[in-house]
Amino acid sequence: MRNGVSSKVFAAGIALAGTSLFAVDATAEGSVLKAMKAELDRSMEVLGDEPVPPYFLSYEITETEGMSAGAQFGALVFSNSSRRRVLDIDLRVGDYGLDNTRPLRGQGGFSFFGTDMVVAPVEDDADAIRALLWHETDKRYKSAMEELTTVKTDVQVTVEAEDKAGDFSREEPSKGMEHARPIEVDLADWEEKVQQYTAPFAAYGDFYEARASFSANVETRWFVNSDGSEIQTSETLYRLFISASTKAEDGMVLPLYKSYIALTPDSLPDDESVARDVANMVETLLALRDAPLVDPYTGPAILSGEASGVFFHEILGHRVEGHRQKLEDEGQTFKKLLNERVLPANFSVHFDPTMTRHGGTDLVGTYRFDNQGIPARRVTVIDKGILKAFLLSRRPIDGFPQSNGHGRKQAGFMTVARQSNLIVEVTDPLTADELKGELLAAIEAEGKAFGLRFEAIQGGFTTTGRFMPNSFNVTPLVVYRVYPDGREELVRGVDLIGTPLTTFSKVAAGDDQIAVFNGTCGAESGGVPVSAASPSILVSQIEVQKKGKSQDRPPLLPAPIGDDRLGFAVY
Amino acid sequence: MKNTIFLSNTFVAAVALALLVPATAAGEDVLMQAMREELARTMDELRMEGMDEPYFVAYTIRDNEQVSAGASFGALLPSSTSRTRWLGVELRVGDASFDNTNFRGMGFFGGGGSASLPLTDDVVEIRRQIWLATDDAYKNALKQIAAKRAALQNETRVEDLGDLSPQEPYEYAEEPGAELPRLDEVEGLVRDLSIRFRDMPHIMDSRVGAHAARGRTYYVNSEGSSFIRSDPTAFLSVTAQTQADDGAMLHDFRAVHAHGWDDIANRGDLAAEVEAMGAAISERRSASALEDRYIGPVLFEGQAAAELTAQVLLPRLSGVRTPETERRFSARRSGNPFLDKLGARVLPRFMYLADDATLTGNGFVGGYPVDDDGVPAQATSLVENGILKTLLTTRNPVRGIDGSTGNRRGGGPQPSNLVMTNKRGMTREELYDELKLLMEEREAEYGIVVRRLGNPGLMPASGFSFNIGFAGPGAGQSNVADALVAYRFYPDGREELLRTVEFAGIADSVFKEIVAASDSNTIYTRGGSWGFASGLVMMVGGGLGLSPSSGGTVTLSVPDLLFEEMSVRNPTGNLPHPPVAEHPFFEE
Repeated sequence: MRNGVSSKVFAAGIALAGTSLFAVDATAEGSVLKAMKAELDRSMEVLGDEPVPPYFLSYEITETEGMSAGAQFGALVFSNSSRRRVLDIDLRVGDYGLDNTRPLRGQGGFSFFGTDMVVAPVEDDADAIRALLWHETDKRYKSAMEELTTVKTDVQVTVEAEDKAGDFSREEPSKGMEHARPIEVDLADWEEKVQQYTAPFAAYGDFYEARASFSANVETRWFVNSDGSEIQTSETLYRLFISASTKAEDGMVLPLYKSYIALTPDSLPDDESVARDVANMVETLLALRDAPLVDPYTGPAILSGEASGVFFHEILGHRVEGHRQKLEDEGQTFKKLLNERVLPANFSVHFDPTMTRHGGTDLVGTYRFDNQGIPARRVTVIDKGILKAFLLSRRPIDGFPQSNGHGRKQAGFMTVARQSNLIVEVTDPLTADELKGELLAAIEAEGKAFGLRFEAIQGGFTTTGRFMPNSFNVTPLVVYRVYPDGREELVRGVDLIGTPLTTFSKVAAGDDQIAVFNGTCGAESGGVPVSAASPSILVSQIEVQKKGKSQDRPPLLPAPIGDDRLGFAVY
Repeated sequence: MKNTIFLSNTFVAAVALALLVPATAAGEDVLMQAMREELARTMDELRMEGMDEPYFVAYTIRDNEQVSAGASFGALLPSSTSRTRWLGVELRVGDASFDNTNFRGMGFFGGGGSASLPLTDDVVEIRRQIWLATDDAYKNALKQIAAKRAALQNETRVEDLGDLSPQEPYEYAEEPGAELPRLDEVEGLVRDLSIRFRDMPHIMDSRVGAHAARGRTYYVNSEGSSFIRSDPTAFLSVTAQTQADDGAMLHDFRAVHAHGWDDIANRGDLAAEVEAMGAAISERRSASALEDRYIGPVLFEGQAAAELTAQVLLPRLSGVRTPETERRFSARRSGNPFLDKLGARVLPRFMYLADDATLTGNGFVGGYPVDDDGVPAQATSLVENGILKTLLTTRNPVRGIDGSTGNRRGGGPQPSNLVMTNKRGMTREELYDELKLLMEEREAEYGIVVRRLGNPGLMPASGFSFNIGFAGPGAGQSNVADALVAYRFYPDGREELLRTVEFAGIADSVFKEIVAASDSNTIYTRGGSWGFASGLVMMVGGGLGLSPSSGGTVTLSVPDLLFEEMSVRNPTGNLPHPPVAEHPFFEE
């Protein structure tokens, strides 16, 4: 991840963090914040007398409390609950124009692995919390002074930076207090459910992996800064993830996933819908084993709403993150395209963390305050095809001196500008049939034997730096060949690839079928929940490349499952 | 009539079937049954035409339940409880004289598959995972043996030891150990101990961590060995650090290892020990520093003698051979220097060293009934009259050593209970007279006595940082942790506390230079390194080139040791400034 190559992964596969139910004493609420505030004030006062005083200090304690259970082939493999708290300190010396956090030039961006994670007490014990804050603040202060000296030298010995904006924006303080939310599910129920959901796979000897995992998490954050912000928020997230894979005779591993992410347990699917989805997965997996391979191809394609959401997340979303317009080793694809047309005039793209639901699905990229205590707000990045804005944390860029509430991170990482809920809006959309008609027309106009339709996808990744090709890869799970007569055939073995500006210029039309892809996006500042909502779109020209594959043969011996299992023979 | 008889026969047949396949077999039977059934299938049927067949297969299932908790300054850190079942497959193709192991090539690590298994006793699902992991292991083994043959075809092998030493089949089973403590019990103890630091104004940072696990290991191999072993462990650690006025960082720790949690919880003296440790660290803040380098006699007493033995001698006692490598791996790793010292002097003439996994009680917790290869535990005499007789081995053949000593713990051999004895044990008075004699010979103003030595696995951690500063042998020198409690000892018997001292490169041969030892031993247990509050197992690999071992607990029984000559100095490096603000709790 060095040399300016930053890779962003947007995957439905989520590492489940376990966690125990802990009732928060109502009277204790606010005691964590009070302890943080007291120590923050004391630190600013005592350090204020030093020759190089800090000009800004913030403390954030993030508690992750949760439970998780997982099963494979109908048998429970794990069940945990846990609770942890992590402390993050942002201490700045220097001033708003130039401070210790400025990235050194020519040395790549941030470390992908973040900084040392400081584990905080999980009890609301003011003395223990303050003791930790004191000890860690002292360490941070000393390293901040060292960093400032290095930064000042770096500024003197390198050429003038292209972006003249400073290192930190001045913002109004925010206050917000939200009660800690409880987890509203019973782990024992879910131990049963994950076993039940994966049981149907057990009848097959040629599925080599079949897992379901469930997690329920409450993330409670306490945030104070020297501007006077005091915030307590509490957000819940429920996730059910089902994955299964088989192998084709040529060794290609064929995975399928089904992911459900919700803000409340009510939005999770019921047992019948999951059973239906599992039955579909079984059917699709069996069909995929026999599906023909597709050779590298270029031509028109339809991306389903899910696929299109990830496509926009990778090729647009990561490239409008503010700090990438500033870092000298970033590709800065869209920096000079401000106020220029980048999409058809009926396409708009917003990032809206204030939305919690869209098209009947929860949007998990929602929050009330970002990780710098800035209130969430809607940012229209593309308005009627014209690029209008970037996503901003408190690190300003030329022409954008203020944050727009998109400074995000995972606990233990440094904040940078990140995506929230990406919403693709198409005015005067086509119907699904009309969109397919356009695809067939394009196939015919170009004299192609077939076009492609990407239905389900696993995720994707992109590189935005200058030292590696500035490209993206969207990894499909289910792809169809669409023939000129409208017939569709399931195929396998390809990834959707491209470069951002070329591919973007080929976006032709969208329909009225909005789909939401919820997932975790990983980048410099760790994994953050995001979503992407989009209609299906027609792209007049895409490119697919061969998927990498395992060279191992399928297992030599048959599965050790009895002939009488579920009443029918498998081998 | 006929009909009746027919019906009754059917009834009898159904009952017999039910007895043959007990649907509600106890969990342990299910695990053993699943492994045995897949083992039979693997040995009978798993093969590819024209390729090597499996000649040895071993399955290990580890079922582990654990609780861990931590506290800092009287408040709990994240706790955890978990249960896991892990499967390991060891599959060998070829034959015992030449198989797929003892080879390291590009992209090949180990010869087996592994998997996490269902926690429920579902024999079909457990077999499915064994089947998949075995298939993986077989394909890997075929690739490895092919790569090994390719790499060796242009070389003449200097030594041909074979790859698996013979072993008589052995069967063993024991009852499960005691139940785990409840999480709140463990949390209660760590919180109680941790809150003592609120009475210690000079301690800047402290951690108390505890861990209890109830492991069961299930093993079968294709030679007919099998075992079911209980591996209970309990561990408590306390670390604290402070800074002297000039910035010098000072720390200390206490660690207790036991087989069961009760042995820790019922120790009445824990709180007093924590307080004594805090007082001792505080006292060191104003202790003097060693200005000049000291070269001369050093006496290691109690914990310091045992910890020094653990850091210098212990890693050299494992007989691990250097694997064959691909030619393009130019950097062949140097092996354990003691491999070349079989028959050579490694201790003074009057000293003995043995490893004995059968020892239990009296503070010995490093033992086990049977090792991870299914070899029964035994006593092994390592050093007699100061001469190295053998090293500890697994079934991986090592030059000059006959077969396994029953010391496989995880990926390689590791000591269990290490006992150092001597024929010339001195009383404390005699030992100090000897020290004075050495000082006189050198006309030294003072000598050095070390009473506590740091353990690289128990350095102070703030938050989530790891310390794996375990330097293995190789270059003929060991890095030894700094002394935590050391004194200047003057000829008139006066002692002067030093804040901390550092040892400058301790040579391999240092244990040969032991001049005298005490007549009584200190029994000291050391873990394979546990994380603080996180309960993470850290790997201690040393520089031996062995696969990470599971970090088994080792108990050492060691006398006080007087060394002829060591080089000792004040820790090098600049000192960090003391904190700008005062500790908020102790601020006036």
